[in-house]
Amino acid sequence: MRSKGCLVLVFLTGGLALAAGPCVPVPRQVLVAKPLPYPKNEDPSVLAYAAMTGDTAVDVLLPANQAASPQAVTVRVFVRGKHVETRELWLGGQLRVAREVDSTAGGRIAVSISSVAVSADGSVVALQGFDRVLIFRGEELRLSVPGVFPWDSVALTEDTFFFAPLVESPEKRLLYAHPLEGEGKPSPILEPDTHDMKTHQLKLAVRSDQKLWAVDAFTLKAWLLSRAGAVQRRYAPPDFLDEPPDVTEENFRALEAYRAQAMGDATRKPPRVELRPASRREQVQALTSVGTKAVLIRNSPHEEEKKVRLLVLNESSGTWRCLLVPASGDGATLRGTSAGVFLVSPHETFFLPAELLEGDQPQRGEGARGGSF
Amino acid sequence: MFGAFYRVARLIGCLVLAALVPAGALGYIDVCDTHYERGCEVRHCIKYQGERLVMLDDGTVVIQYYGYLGQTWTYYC
Repeated sequence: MRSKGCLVLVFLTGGLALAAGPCVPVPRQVLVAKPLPYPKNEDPSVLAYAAMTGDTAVDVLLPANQAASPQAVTVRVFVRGKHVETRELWLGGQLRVAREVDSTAGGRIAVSISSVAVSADGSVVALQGFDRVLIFRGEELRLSVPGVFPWDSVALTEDTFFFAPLVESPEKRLLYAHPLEGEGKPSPILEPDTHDMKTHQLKLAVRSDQKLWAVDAFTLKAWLLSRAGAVQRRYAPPDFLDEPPDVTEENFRALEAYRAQAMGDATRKPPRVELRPASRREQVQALTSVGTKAVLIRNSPHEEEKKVRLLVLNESSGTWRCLLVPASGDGATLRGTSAGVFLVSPHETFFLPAELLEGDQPQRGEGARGGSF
Repeated sequence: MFGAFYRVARLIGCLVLAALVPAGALGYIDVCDTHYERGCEVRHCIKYQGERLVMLDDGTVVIQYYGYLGQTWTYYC
């Protein structure tokens, strides 16, 4: 244990000097093998989903043979690794849309839940389907919100459901907040920059103090919001990373193939088809919070290196730090706690203590230090 | 010279790809919803290069979409 501590210290003090490129390499020896704060699912007849916010974790369990049309799911709540509650959530046929998808474990499987989310106190759980999101307080279904959102693009506080749609046009907003109580409707709380009407989508992560991190997966601009959704601070993207290329033209060509298919449907009158190609590539694979920091996996253009690029945003200084973790990033996700972050991939699980995320990184421009936009 | 070679190579590549991809399969996945606007059926689709169920080391799963291409609106009036 002492030798691990020494390695962390050496890394913290000497890492910057040894760094090659903008990302600081993390020695494999400082990665800690630590059990997750919920049990590993080893039963192949059970399909399990997990979510963590602060020190609260849930796993959501259902029979694998009912994955396409579950009637109910079991939710177990864990606080700092201790099992505190089990709930049965009755779905009542609300998740009617199933999709058959390739599994990294082999074969194809039809599922109707894509991911889950939990509030910091564990009282509210969201089940994301393929046409709607169901939000439960305790065992009571509070909301059924139509829409399809990628993982990490919905978040929960004790009283609000946040969701972030894909934005390609000025009429949409970056972020909506839906109160869990009353008959309230979703209200828009973040507008896209009118000078940048390219592709946007926010990834969301709730902190244990119920403040919300929102990071644009396409631009890496970031916001810190109160639990009610008020913007408290804006953060400029890290300036030590290269600007991703514009991919509008190649995506337009891909969508043109769809237009040809739609126009060629002999069974219907030729429709009018409008295409909005994505202008840039998504940069964020997963987002979480560790204490007051935002931590994300940046999609790597160098996957063959088998390294995970972690970007860490410091709330108070407003600076970003990039860490290069020697692990496979393909399909990996993050589960943040107050003590550090678990990096969970299909093949391994590592824990990075919060001390590893401390420190500053040289920035390219003066303005980037504590930068905002 | 290289530019011409590149264009020819790209054309051949496109033709090979077109031959490999079966008719109707465009090599991407859709996440669609249908609604009605002013008497027209509107099919809105978000298009990705793919989606997959990722089985993580902890035995839990998550559905990941990857390769966001853009969105389409198809108006049947």
